[in-house]
Amino acid sequence: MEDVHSSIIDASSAGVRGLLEETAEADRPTWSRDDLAAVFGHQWTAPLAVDLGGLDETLAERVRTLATAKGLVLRSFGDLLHHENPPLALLELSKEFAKRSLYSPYATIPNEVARVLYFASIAAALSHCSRRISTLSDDEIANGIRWALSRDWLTDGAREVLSAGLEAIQPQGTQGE
Amino acid sequence: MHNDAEQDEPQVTRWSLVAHAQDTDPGARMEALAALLQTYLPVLKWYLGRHYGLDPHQREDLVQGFVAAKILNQDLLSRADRSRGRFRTFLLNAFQNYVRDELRKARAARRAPPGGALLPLEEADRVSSEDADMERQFHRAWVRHSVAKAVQGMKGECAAHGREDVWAIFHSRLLAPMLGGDAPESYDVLVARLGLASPSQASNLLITAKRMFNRHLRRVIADTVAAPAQVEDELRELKRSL
Repeated sequence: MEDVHSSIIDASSAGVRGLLEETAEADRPTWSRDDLAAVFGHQWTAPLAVDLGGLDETLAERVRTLATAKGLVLRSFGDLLHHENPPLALLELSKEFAKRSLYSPYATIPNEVARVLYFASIAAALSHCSRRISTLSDDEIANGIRWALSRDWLTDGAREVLSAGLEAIQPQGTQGE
Repeated sequence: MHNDAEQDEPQVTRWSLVAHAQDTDPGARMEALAALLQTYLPVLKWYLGRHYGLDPHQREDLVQGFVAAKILNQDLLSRADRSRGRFRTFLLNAFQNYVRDELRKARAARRAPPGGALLPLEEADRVSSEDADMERQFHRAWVRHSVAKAVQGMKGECAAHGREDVWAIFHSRLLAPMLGGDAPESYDVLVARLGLASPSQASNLLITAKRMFNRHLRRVIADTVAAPAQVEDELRELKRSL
């Protein structure tokens, strides 16, 4: 650890600047469709323990416990949101992670990706658990899910989760627009 | 959707610590002061070594003298005003004045021995003409310490979560090449070394690593500004100062 610290302290300005520019690339605010597809695909398969555990230290252990309880093997966001009977608490944490990513200066994923993840978490709770994990109104949730479904970089898996959520909150035949 | 959102607030900003350092409770005051000094003193020491070529013993003496004379005896922090800018700029100005005075004293002591000089005397003349350079170097030192702290935090998180693969990719593809000039390890080699499924998995891990580093860097920076909204501005300012 000390060696790493020293190497940074003694590094050239160009080296430190290069490191900051290279890593900032992951958070660049202007995202192409391909970029968003790549980041979302990555987020969908990202380890729950890393991102959700990063919310705060005490949550890390809770995430591990929930993700492995009752024989579940929930390694990624995709695993969680697709599961037929996911732990509701874990969906709430997933929504919380997305929400913080939307509004926090610490956000490390593009806003659009976070927004889709946010509504996908709500949709999964509606369709798999028949539970609401948001204070938004039905119309607000439905509009949010429709917005997410209109992203052309979504994976098929995410599209299934969102569509099921929309069907749960506004069954076909009752949908406006 | 805003009605369902919450704002993140950093646990404690340095300005909050400055306020706590003036607390009437001696225990809280000393704890806050210790946290502040732990953040800033390494940068001041590094700066003295880089700018003046002082050895570790001389750096320690000068910095401890600053703490005793200015921070403790003259209650420097009571004059810090968060509405007037960054705390580190306030600290740097006070430190500059202290260093200048000490160098003058050292020069005077050399002219009138015995007593002997504690510091390289030829530096005294440089100080008055190089304030701008001093400030630039101090800010550059600050950036390095912030980056180092973020990297250490990231390495710790990787170890705590059993994600040594994320750290290994970050180190071999970015840290070592950027800072040490090493050739980046190829994805094929990394796949074999880390037991990954494919080069694309390695590439994805690098994205995870970059984001994790950014998260830690923003935490470090958030800890030094008055409000979360200032993080991005501060980050841009740090990059400019390099």
